[in-house]
Amino acid sequence: MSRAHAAIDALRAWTPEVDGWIIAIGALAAVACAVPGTLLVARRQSMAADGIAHAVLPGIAGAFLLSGTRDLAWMAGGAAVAAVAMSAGSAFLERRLRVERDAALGIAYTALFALGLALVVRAADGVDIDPSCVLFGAIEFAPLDRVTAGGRAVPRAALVIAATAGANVAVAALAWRPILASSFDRGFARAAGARPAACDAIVGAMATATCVACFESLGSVIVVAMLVVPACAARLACARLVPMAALAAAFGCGATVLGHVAACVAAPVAGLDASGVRELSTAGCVAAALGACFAGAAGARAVMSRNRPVDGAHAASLPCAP
Amino acid sequence: MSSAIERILATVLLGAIACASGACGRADGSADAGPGDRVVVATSTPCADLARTVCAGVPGLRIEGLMPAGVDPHLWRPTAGGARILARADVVVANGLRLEGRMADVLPKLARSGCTVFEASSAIPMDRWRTAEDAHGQADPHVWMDPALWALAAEGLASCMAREDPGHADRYAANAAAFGLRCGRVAERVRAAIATIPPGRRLLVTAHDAFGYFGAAFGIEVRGVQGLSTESETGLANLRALLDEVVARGVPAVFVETSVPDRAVAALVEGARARGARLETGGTLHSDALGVPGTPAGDWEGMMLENARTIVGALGGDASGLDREGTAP
Repeated sequence: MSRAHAAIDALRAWTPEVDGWIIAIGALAAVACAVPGTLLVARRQSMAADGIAHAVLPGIAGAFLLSGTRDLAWMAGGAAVAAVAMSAGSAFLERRLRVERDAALGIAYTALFALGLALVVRAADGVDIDPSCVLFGAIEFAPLDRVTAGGRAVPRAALVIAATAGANVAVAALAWRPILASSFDRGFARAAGARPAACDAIVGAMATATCVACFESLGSVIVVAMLVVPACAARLACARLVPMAALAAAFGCGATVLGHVAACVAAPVAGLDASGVRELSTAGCVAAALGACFAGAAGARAVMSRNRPVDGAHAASLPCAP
Repeated sequence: MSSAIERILATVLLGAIACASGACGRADGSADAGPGDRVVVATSTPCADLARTVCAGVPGLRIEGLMPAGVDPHLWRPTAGGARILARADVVVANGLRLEGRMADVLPKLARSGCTVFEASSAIPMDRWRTAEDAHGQADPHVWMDPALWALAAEGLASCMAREDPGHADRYAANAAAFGLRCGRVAERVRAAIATIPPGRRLLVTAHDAFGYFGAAFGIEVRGVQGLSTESETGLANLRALLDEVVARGVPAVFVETSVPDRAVAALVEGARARGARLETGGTLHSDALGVPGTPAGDWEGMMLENARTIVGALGGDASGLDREGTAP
């Protein structure tokens, strides 16, 4: 059983100050993403997450060309401007030109991404400004960027993402009733005095802030997966929004643990370590674990609804009820 | 109807979290460094070789390389294991000038949290950095290709280590001085061998711009199909201009690199053949990574000699003076 031993040895190498923080940061990101993720899925806007992930590229490249530095404040500012431009552009296409919502989003973010690629080519020769590497961080190295908080060295990413999670929960709690109403019946929401467009803006801003906060320290793959996949999986199991968000956060936390274990264990178990591969990418493995969570939830749902076909069919036709 | 699923899923997740935190707890204190050992972590393979050379024979030091042999440092991705090694590091030996593209942001952060970060390029005076045209002032990071500069990097590392570990300052200085002499001998032999290539053919075409320092040090013109970083794309117009020059000068060979895909170089060879010129792939050069330890190009000196042998042989010079002396440890 040398493979089992290899797996155990790989986990024995874990240290609290690296692997413990990787999991803690991933779990915080899961909580931060659960709020906007659940709302985006309930509002049938889940493509916005992918849109934001692509649309921030021109902002980042433009900020680099303008400032000449890869300073965090410039990068985050550029990303925020680009994300707002995407939201405004897709809203314009949808309202004025009557383009369908997903199509509007697709047009806006592919256009911005193309602009971003052009800017990167303009800036890139000799400078490493590949968005997947330096500008978007890697969760593996997030524990190495420490600041002192309350007398302890804490990864900066943990503080930033915890603050984002707190802000998301607070905003959702404050604007809960209008957001809830506008998520399901915009006509009713308008009649009741809630402004659906303002709610769209709040949810979009929340998703954008979460993306920008997480990209810089965790990378884009993990964030896009964390926003959408746990919320979709939770929607299969829950009918109400608050338990759905809580379950989405739990899925995200579980997938972080599973994904990081898999990233550390897969290479020695498969015998890849002989060729110099020691670990797989944690972000990729977490995204795969999220996919597995979704498959598990879908499988459980299928088994349950086979027993009660009428109820299952009814639930499938309605995304969820408040 | 879904409360049963909720309960099952919650139980499974809690179980998974509990298992993982148990695994995390068990692993406490399992780091295999001796308690008093200083850990020196080097990023790229040339840097790891430099650290081993300068620290040779000093007790109480553990030297670890982050990047495996043959890996492109421009594209190397951080892994959890790499983060664990870096978290234990007392000294980090890096190349600098953004060679470690995906680590560029981590190094200053490590320095801020109390780790000593030595960048080989910063031991070299700025006026000897090469700047490629149209690279936004970005300096060429491939400094280890010029033995004179790499000897300066060794001296810089020796004085950095002497500050860390004053008890062995003499040893570091002696190692660096011995390495400087070896660099001088390598440079002489490579220069003499390059000089045997017929002057019109002294054009070194490689997959990316890694050999600027090499060319300047040894008197051979250099063209890269890709830019300074292996991330940049190949422009068609550049490729055509390069092809014109290679065919016009009758250069017999172009070179691929161990750590870079050879697509662009293969396109060049095919293009030349389509025009009826004789152009071959002259061999594989070690550009951004040394070979596997134990092979001829497994350390810096062997890598320099091996590259020179490949280049001189393929371009029609006399490579007989490049066999390795008995100086290897």
